[in-house]
Amino acid sequence: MSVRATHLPPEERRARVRLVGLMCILLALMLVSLFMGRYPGPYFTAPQVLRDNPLAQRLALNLRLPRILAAVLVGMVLSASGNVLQMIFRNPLVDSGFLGVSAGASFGASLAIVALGGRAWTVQSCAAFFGLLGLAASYLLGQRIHYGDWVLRLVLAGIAVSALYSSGTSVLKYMADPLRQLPDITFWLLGGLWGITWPDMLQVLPVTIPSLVILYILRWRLNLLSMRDETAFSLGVAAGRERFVLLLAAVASTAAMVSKAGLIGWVGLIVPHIARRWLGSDAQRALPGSMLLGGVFVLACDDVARTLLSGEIPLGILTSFVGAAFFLAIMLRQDWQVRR
Amino acid sequence: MSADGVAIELRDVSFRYRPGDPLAVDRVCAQVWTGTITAILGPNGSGKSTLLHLLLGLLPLQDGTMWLMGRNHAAYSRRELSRLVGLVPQDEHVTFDLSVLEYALLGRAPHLNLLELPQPEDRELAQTALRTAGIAALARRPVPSLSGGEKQLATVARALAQEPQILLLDEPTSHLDLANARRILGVLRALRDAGKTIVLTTHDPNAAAAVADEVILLREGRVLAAGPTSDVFTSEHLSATYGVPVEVISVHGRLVVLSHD
Repeated sequence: MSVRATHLPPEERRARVRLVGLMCILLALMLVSLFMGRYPGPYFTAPQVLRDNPLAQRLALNLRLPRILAAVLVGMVLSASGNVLQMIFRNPLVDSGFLGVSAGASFGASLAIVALGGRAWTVQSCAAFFGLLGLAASYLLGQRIHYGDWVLRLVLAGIAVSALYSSGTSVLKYMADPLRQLPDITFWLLGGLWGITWPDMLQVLPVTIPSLVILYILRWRLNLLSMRDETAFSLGVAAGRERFVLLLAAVASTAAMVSKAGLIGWVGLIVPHIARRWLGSDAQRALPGSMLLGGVFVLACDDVARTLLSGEIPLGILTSFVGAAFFLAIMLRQDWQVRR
Repeated sequence: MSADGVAIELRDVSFRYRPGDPLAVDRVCAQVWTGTITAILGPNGSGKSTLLHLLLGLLPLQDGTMWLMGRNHAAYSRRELSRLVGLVPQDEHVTFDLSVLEYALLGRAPHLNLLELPQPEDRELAQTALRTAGIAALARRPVPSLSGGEKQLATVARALAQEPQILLLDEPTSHLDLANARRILGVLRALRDAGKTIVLTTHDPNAAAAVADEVILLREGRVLAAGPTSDVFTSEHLSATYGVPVEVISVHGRLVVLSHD
């Protein structure tokens, strides 16, 4: 490893150092987050309190820890999926929020809550099904729109599909029982992790961990799949099959996390963008970078969401605010161009 | 290399895109010799690209047989084919800011399995490919920032990193200015001299005359004439191919094609 590493070009070595740095930041933030919260006192729980107070201990282990892991997973999954969707659709301006996946998943979940009894597995599978359907509809629609280039067409199609789903979700909200069902749906649309428990985590792990592993293992192939079919074919790539596997992993893991966390916007768009800026566009580095950076970003937002005020700030509001502000800031910079 | 020196042999190859359509490629018989540059020349819509895509395996063979290096085309797996045949498409589109080296490294895909990442040896080979294409100095530049000629050379390097014996190029000079076209053709000659078999399509007879050892003239999917460039390049053949009066003259030993109004 060390012998080989000396042969690496400087940018690759720098990227590796940055990846290790990001990993350390993520682990440190996870540790610090365990001591952050509103009990026993606001903001920070001193280590000796955690050692001596059994209630604080239980709180940290049974509420904070699963929530920290969930935040990291949400960030990793959304960012990795965003990166995958961007490369597969050869479009740096898409993410699951723009392609009808998130809107479809929340429509599916609302439908499950209102019409199918709202059990965990029905909510998740409904979310996954309508998420995939949203993606397929956006893609097919994008191919048929006769306006603008591929980047714009796909974004327009995604906006239209998402709007259709949103209106469907509004109808469901209107029909929902205001005491039993509406709060569940509202939670979805705002997005947040306050209800996350260990059983929730155990439900999503069998989907998200294998999906993340698949995306990580196949990360270099993403570069190949970002080429046109003619080129991918000439390189011996079974583009259709490989794209399907990667899309399935991306959408299934997104739907699983969204079914627990609700709509967490802008992560999948902005994080891969920053990761490419820091680590280069080669998915071999940008994808793990997106995962780590996404974990850091969502965990930091969730720490703010649960610590800043005595009441909880919905996480989706925070990520959208920070993400959109960041997006505007880099767009308004003089040297801005969409980092591809 | 096959013993008889034939790299590619087509026997009665036909193809149509949809049932009921006219044949895009109509009973084509042709041979390509190893270590030569062969130009498939014809007007737009004459079936050049279709023929190239058939050779690549991107389109399924409907009728006839194709032989590559003495072995039936149908007997190759896609992976084997991608190690034997490299493609330089007409209009390569690289959306993301891959560096030229990262891009050339994609050419190693046929030699890696699904779960493998490129190794230092692959990086070496990609770098060698950049040197061969004369763009080693651009290794760290993002591909989307390159000029048309540089991008075309980067695509050639990417195909060379596949270590193919046969290189297919679809209209390699059609978007390029004179200097860049010369540069590409120079690289192709050097590759031929190094033993590669090169097949290119072009609608420009002067580009074919400048570089090709052999020419296959296509019109409406049929071969009008095929053979050494000096034999095939006659006013009669080219006029028939393009459907307009064409004159072939020799200037300082080079064939030049002129069309008259």
